[in-house]
Amino acid sequence: MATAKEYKEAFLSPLFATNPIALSVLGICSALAVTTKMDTALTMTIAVTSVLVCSNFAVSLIRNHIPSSIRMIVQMVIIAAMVMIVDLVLQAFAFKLSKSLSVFVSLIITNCIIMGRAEAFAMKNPPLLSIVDGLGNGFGYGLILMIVSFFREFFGSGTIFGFEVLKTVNNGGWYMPNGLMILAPSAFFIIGLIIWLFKTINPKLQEGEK
Amino acid sequence: MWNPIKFIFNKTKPWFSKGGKLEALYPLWEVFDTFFYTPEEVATGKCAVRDSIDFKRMMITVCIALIPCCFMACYNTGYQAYKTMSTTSVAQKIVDDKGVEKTVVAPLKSLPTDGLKNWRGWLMSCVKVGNFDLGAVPEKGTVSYFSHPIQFIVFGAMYFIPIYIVTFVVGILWEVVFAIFRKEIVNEGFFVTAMLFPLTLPATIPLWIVAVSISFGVVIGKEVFGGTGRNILNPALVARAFIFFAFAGTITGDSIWVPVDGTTMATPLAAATQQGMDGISAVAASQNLTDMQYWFDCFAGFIPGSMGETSTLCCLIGAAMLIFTGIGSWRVMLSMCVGTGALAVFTYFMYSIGYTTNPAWGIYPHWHFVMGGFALGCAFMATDPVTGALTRGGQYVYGFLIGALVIVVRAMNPAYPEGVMLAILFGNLCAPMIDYVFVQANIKRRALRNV
Amino acid sequence: MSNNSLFKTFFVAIAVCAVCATLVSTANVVLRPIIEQNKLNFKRGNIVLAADLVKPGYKASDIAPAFEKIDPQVYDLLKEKFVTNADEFNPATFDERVLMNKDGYTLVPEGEVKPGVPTVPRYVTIYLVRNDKGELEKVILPFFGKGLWSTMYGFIALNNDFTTVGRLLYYDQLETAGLGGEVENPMWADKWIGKKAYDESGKAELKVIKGTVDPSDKNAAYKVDGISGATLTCKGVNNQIGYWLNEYRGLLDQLKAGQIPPESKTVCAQATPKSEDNSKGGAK
Repeated sequence: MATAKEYKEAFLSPLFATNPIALSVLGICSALAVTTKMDTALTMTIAVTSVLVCSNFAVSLIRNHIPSSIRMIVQMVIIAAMVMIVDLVLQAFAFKLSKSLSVFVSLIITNCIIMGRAEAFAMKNPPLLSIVDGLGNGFGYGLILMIVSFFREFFGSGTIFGFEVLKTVNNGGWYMPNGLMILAPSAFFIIGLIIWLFKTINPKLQEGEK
Repeated sequence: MWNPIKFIFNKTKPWFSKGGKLEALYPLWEVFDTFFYTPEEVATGKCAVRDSIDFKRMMITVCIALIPCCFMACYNTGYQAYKTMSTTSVAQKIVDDKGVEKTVVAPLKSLPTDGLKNWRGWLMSCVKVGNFDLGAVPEKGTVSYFSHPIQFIVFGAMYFIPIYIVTFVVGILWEVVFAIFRKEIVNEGFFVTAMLFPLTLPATIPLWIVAVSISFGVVIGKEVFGGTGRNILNPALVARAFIFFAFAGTITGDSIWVPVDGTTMATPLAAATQQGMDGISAVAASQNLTDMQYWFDCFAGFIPGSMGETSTLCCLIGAAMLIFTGIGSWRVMLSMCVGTGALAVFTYFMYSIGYTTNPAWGIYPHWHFVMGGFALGCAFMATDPVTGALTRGGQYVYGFLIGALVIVVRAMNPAYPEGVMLAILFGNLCAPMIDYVFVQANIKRRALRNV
Repeated sequence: MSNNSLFKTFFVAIAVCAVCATLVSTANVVLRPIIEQNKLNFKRGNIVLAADLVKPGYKASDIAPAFEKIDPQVYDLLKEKFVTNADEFNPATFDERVLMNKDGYTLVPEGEVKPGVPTVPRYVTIYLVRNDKGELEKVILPFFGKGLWSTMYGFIALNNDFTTVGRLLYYDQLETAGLGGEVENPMWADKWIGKKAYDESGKAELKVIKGTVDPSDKNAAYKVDGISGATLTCKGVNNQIGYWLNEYRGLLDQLKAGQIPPESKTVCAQATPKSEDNSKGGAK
């Protein structure tokens, strides 16, 4: 049995110390694509977290029976099934959001975080601990997504969660929206600055000179 | 003799040196100290002086080479505005003899009553010496290239100088902040950036955008890489690219080039990329010029455009200074011209044998050199020793690449009329790779020779 | 038994696949009706919005009653006549986007202005709105074409003079968010209201210009403000509108001449709706 400390570690460490986006630089593609608006970023976070938790749980449950020769394919099948279900649920209950996320929900299959956690964690750890790890990594991913999308939506469209904060010139207001924030490169800049901040606060994360 | 400046620095030195109260602000003190006096550090070990050139002198030379461009930036900004004001009629509110307010369309009479109800018009109307009234708008048809030089320069300077000051103050602020945190001294590299950046902007650019963009240019374009000398991109161009993508409406279009409200005037480049030579001829005809006369207008810089980029002539003067002093690489400039020329000839050839779907391909090659930011980019941006290629062979490749890309973006891509900025940024990214290839090739060749 | 034995490898592979397949297909069976309803509601919502039967920001429950007033008709662009034989296509369920790439059901765009897509469907659904007396009030025409990156789908509603625009809206596009994507901004869509689609000679004149329209311009009724930073998307919009307004001229002439087809609901009630499966292919 895993101790309470292990659970805490599995949940908290992916938030900052081993954040999947900021430190492992995984799952960047979706972080660029879905962060123009906060509601899509939140939906994506929920979708990724639920896929991650389910796949971690399922993989961990049968981890002692998976033949090593088809290990990856079994993980892939499980992840793909979860993604398809999440996609269907979104289309049924959040149609508008699933439209704006378009293909990126299906692309969760290729999100490196999920495959990475299945391979690196769920294959070696008991189911409950794997669920907590999935939650932690999902939230770590979501944390960065929400920060990035906050800046992109606030400066790029003058809104937060679609709620108008700064009235833009196009809508007859004064705020001139920053068009760069709507383009994908801005997510790179913001993620870069976040990594900078993380590593400045916690110098242990800095890579040493070669 | 008692020297007040020296006195101040000597007096304040202990505060800023190690152990002083304001130790953290040492970089700021050092900026002013070395501005007036030579640095106090001296080499104590063996040293080899190859040349009298140092970083400071290099930067100052570039700044001096930029002076003709700055002068023309002010002159042409004023000239364009005055020409517009003296030839266009604008709607004005007047009160007629019955006391009814109505709007009439009439030629402008003086600066403060047109769209320019700002401090510039007011300031200029204050200067009246005898018959000379700085604030008066000349009679219709009296504005020509050299008709009102003082007005042109004063008016243009009132646009150029605020942009320059904002660039400088905000940029230096970031430099000082980073110097303090990194415990380094402030580098002179920013002087050139601060001078180049306003030259790439239209006169009507809002000052807050200048401040935001130069912050982006200095921090993301330079400081995150470790400061001057370590940056891979030209910070002035990064800042301009930021505006280009973030606030596209303030740096592209037809209504921003002439600082008179409600004026739309396309740059020759915009006209050319949309309608080819027909567009240029139409612009020339609207000013009663032949195409050739208009080409000389473009060459001399009497056209609407970003402040410092209009005059190819002034850029040539600056380029000559840089080449003469050995600071700018003539190889980069030459190969960039060759690259642009080669592709321009190619597109023109294709156009003339029937590929006429894109009118921009039909622009005569010699026009590409005088339009847009080509001259400024070629003389001052591509040659930046920090971000450009350094090996001799590499410089030819680097210049050619940029030159060719200018035409690719300008003529082949309909979305962006101005290709120079993007081409140079792309060239900057490739420069380390180009250098690497040439260095490796050289190592291999020498290794073979010494078997 | 060893995990890596041949039997166990096959067993695990088959078992995992079977479990996953069951889960996915169960979810699909349970959720598919809701998804189909969502899709239908989405399209109908845009139609009633274009018809001004609901206001922007409408609720899902407003759609069904408003759609009662809409009369869908299938129109043959090749023969330039309505398909009144409900056996062929049921207007209530017909979806031209399903037939878009099907052989025999497509046309190759011709003419000076092209919509930027290689083929367009031969049959389209148009929507008629009648007032209480049964007179034609509005006609809603679907149109689509290439923008900068994506194929953009929209509706244009014309008032009963067949040239004044009631509303124009895009409901499906993947242009650059914030630039070209602003075609979906209601603020911009409102600028089309009251514009004229055709000039006196019947030529399709409506277009988006660069910058803002000068109200004193005598052609201002044919011009719509451009979206700054979206020159190429606007060019696509112009091509689409130009092409489809041209294409629909025959249809509008018929309506103008009073050749208005009978309400499809009355016709359908008699016919057996056999081509319902048109909609089953879904939008994908």
